[in-house]
Amino acid sequence: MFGSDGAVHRSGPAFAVFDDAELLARARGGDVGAFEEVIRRNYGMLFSVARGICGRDADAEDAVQETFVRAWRALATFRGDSQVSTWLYRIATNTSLSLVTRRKEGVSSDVPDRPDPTSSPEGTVEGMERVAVVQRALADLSEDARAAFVLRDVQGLPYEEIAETLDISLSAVKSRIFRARQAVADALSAHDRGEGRA
Amino acid sequence: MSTVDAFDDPDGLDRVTMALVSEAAGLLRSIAVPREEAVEATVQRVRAEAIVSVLAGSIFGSFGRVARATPDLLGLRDDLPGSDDGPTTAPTEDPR
Repeated sequence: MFGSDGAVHRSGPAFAVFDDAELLARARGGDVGAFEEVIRRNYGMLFSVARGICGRDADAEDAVQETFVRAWRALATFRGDSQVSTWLYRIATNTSLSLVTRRKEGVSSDVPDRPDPTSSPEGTVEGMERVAVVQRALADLSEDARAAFVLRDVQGLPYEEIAETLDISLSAVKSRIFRARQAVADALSAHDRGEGRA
Repeated sequence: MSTVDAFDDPDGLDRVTMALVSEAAGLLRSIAVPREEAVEATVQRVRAEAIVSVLAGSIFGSFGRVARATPDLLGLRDDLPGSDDGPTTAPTEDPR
C-alpha cells in the first residue's frame, strides 16, 4: 500500500489530479475526503521526521496523528504563503519536539522497537547496533540540532526551508547540522573501532 | 577544511564524515516505516474531529439563534428598524 515515496496510495482517482494546495483548499470548504488524501500522501514523510526526532515508533505515530489534527484545526490559517509540505513539516517538527519535551525521559536510546525490514539476515544484528548508535548520538544532541539533522540528512530539505520550519536563522541551522553530523559520525567511528561495546 | 569554514558550510565536511552521515541517514530512513493501521487511525481521528466541529458549529449556531431571540422572547427589545433578521415574533394586531 505504501509507494516508493512512503505515501499511502489507497484513495481513488478523484483526488489524484489535485496538488496538496488544492486539496487543502477543498478541505477548507469542508471536504474531509480531500484532507484524508493529504494525510495519505504526506504521512510517510512526516513519520520519518517524527521518528527521527522522537526516536520511537509509538511516539512518532502519536506525533504525526497530532500533527494532522492540528493541521485540520488550523486549516483556516493556511494562506498558501509557504508550501504545504513546509507547513506540515513545521507542525510535525514542533509537535514532535513538544512530545519529546513532555516525555521526561526524552528520546529513547533503546534498540528500535521494530526490526529494520531492509536488513539482510546476516546484517540484522550489526545493523540494529548501528541504528542504536545513531539514535544514542541523536538523543545526546539538543532538540533543534536533532530536528535540523533529520530535516536535512534524512529528508533532504534545503537549509532555507529548515530555517523556516524551525524558525531560526540560516547560520544557526548550519551550525546545528554541523554539530549533529560530527556527533553522529564520531559515534559510528567509535563503534567501528570497538569502543563502547560490552 | 577548518572548523570555522565547516560551520559555514556543513556540506563541506570531509568525505569520511559525510559517508558516515549518509549511512546514519539511511539507517534512520530504513526504520521509519509507517504502519498502515496508524495511517488509518489518523484518518479516523481527523474524521472524528470533522464531525465534532460540525456538531459544535451546529450547537453554537443554535445557541446564537437562541441568544439573539432571547430579548424578544422576554419582551426586552423593541423591533429594531432596519434589522435584517426579520420578525422574531408574530404581529399582535392586524394592521388593517
